[in-house]
Amino acid sequence: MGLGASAGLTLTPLPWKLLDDISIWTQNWPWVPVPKAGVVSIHDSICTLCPGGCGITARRIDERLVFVAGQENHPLNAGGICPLGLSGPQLLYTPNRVMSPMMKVDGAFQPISWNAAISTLVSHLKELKQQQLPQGLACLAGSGQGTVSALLQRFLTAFGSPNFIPSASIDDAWELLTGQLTGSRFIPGYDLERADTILSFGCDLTEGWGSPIRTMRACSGWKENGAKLVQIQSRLSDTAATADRWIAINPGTEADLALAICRTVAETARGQSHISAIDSGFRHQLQAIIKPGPSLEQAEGITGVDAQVIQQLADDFVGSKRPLALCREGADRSPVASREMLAVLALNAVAGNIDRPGGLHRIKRVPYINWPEIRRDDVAGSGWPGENLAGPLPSPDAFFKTIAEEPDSPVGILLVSDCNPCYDLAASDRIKRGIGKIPLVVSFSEYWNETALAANLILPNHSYLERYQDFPVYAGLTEPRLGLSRPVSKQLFDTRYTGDAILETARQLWGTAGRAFPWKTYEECLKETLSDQWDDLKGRGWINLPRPPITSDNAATISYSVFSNADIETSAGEVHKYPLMILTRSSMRLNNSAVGTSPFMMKSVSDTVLKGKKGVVDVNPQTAEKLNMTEGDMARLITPEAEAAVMIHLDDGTMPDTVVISQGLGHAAFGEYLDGRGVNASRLLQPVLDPLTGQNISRTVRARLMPV
Amino acid sequence: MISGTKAMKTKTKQTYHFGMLIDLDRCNGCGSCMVACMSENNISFRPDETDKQTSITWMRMYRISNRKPFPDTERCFLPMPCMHCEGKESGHSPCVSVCPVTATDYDRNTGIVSQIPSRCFGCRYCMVACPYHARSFNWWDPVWPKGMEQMLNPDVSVRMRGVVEKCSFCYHRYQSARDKAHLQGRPRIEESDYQTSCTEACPTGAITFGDLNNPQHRITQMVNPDRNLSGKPRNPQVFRLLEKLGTNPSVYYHSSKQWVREVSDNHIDDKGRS
Repeated sequence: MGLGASAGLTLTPLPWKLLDDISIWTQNWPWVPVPKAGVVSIHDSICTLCPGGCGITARRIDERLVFVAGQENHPLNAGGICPLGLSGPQLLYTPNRVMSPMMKVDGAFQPISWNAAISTLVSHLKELKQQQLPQGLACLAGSGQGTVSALLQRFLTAFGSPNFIPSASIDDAWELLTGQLTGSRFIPGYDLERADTILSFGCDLTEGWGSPIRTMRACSGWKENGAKLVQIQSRLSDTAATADRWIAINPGTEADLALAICRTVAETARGQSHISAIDSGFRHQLQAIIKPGPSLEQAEGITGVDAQVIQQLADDFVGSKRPLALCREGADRSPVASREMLAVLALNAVAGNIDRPGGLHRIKRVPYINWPEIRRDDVAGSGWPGENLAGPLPSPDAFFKTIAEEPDSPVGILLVSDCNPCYDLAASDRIKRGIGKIPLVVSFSEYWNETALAANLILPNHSYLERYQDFPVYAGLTEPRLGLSRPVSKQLFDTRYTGDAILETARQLWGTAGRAFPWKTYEECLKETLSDQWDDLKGRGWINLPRPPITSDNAATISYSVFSNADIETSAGEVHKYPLMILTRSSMRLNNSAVGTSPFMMKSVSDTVLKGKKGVVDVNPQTAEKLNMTEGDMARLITPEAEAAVMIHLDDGTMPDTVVISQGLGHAAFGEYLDGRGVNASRLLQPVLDPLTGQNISRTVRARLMPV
Repeated sequence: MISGTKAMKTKTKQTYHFGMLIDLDRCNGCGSCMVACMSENNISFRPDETDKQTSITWMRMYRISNRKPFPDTERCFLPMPCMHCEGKESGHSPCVSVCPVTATDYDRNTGIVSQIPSRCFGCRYCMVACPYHARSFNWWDPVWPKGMEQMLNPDVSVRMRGVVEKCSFCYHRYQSARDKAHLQGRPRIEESDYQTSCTEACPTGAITFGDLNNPQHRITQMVNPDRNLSGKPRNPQVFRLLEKLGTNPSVYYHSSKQWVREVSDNHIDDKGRS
């Protein structure tokens, strides 16, 4: 009996049967979705999420968008695509979209109708007009390119305000500098594909530089054709890791190294002949740039790079067939220090590669928006727009500086389109306070980003997959192009083109939209603007822009008295109080722009960048030992601007006495997938305005690490 | 997933053996392969994905270093999908041999190690057996935020809590390639008919995918596998991970850097010592 029971209990299949059943039950929850099958269709467009302008192909199942791939036959990306581009379906369907116009009432947003939203804006504008303060209207825009930007600027001009402030790109800074330098404005187009010796001065070539996928493909091509990439950078970035040679340089001294190489090259016979071949006006300017550059020995002291290595770099560079020096870009192609830009331009010039195969091509921007100028009598009321309060090359940082300095905001209404200053501008806490001083902030954002949350009124745009958008792409290309993004998804929510919102506002302000705005709808405006190119653009998605020759060569007006290393000198804080230097790191897996990072991208982020909600910083093991810290320790990262709690990760590729922090984390918006995860690097930085361009060029700040 | 394979085998003698070659010299760790895979294969996502032991991914990006101090440090990214091990005697992959319910199997017609979520009951023996950590377990119900289930790809079934999942070499793409060839009256699929999602997305062309049995395919030409040594690469710069285990993976790597190749087999030297 006992034996039988034991045998029965031992051999009974019941526990196994129960386990099996449990596993079946746990798998049969009805809320595991079953995706609906349907008709597959393919739709091409242009990605407008970064300045790169890649071709994309959306795959739809009936009306559902399920995949965004790189467009196979596109000349820029040839099927390749970045993690952000791949996130299209997530960015389209995210619950973090602004689904209808919103108005803040008693601190909370409430959905309102489009009619109510536009008439709210119109009544505030009328008030401003009545007070004779048209310049009290300002607009921050993501870029100064494209018809939406042009409409916004036109609206401000018609209203009587000069305060249109697009986020300047490095291309805008190049135009300003080259205009002053040579009398003819141009943007460098880098012939990456044909270069054979590439000196990259801290460029994040594989982390988003120029048109990111095109650049990555060029890097890949160099492996194939034997071209050599030398990466000059303070830390072992992903670009440095894949380069043929990495030269570690003291932070912020790239320009000094470039100038030292320039001087060395200029002394060679080859360098001499290259310089004498340059037109006289530019040649004199060039010599003025090179002359104050450091000697080899001085450069060794400044940059930390051995004088012999610099000499060797110079010899290799001038001795190669197709040398090319590349200039760094800030996050999202923002400008860098003018000294750095001019030093790299000079280096290319002395290497004799200007407008040569594999060299630096001078590209002139071609205006394609040719609307009739607004006439003075079209400007309603008090007067013709005066000076932009954000400077001659308007800078959002300068704008917020002005706002902060005045006790009462000189701006009564701020329009914000396609940018997120409350997150990505340096000292972002100060920016948030500044925005709080403005009585009416109107956002056109399609996402609930930090600036949309700080707004009073939101007039949401369609998402980039639901709209037409003209998109000029320069981004360091030798063949700039105009792209047109086309809707690849039906419109999901109660959103409108920003262009349509502007046209409707104009109509309500000035009757039949006034003479300045003759279009009924934005699509009509776009079609008319692109006129005979519309069909080509709609069909293929892009056209090459013409390349007018660069002509004039005089009238240099550049001032070298301010040609100093402002970038680092003014990075505030005394060395003894803040012994470390923060370096920021960009990554293709994190996005810094106004659309945020997708959940998929967050999933791909390494746990040495983000751990739980903690932002992780890289510290050299030597430095950590000095600070008595080790892997996984929590610490306070303190800069003169702000402080943040960070987790320490020991990394050999990080220069001693520096701290590396990732960009694109630490949001205070975008829902639970992003909100509160990691540290916003911009919060810790302080704006440093370049003396020549007026743009913020800060990328580093002094800091100290304290145990918690 | 593998039904009817026996019948096919008797009809067409020449089988496929799909494999992947990842060029580590070109890989810059951008992460496109990971996201392309997630989007194609309906991989679930959670607000916190920083615990990499529980985070589900079919393509994992490792970053290895030569461990030298600054500034002699070198680094290399190493993307790792399922290795689709063939085992020494064909079909004896580590995971396949331990699965009690044949939820995972080696397909002799394609060289693909399958994973059938609805058959899996979550014992996770395969995860223990896999020397490459290529498998993930669904600890939670997959949840798509409101509206986001719209993005799900109908070609790949959504996995439920309690099952293991892993890279399938986008098997559904093989199926549609086969359908396409059938419709067009072609006996075999072409190289361009069947490419995985990660291969297509990779911006630098670091991933090459194809049939290792077909000498015309790029992968076979680059790897030059030695049939007598279970597909060991003849190209000296090409290697497989943990070759010494004899798992016979279908995923190959290329690197011009010796330290990277050494790391791949735990620094084993030519006398077999590690």
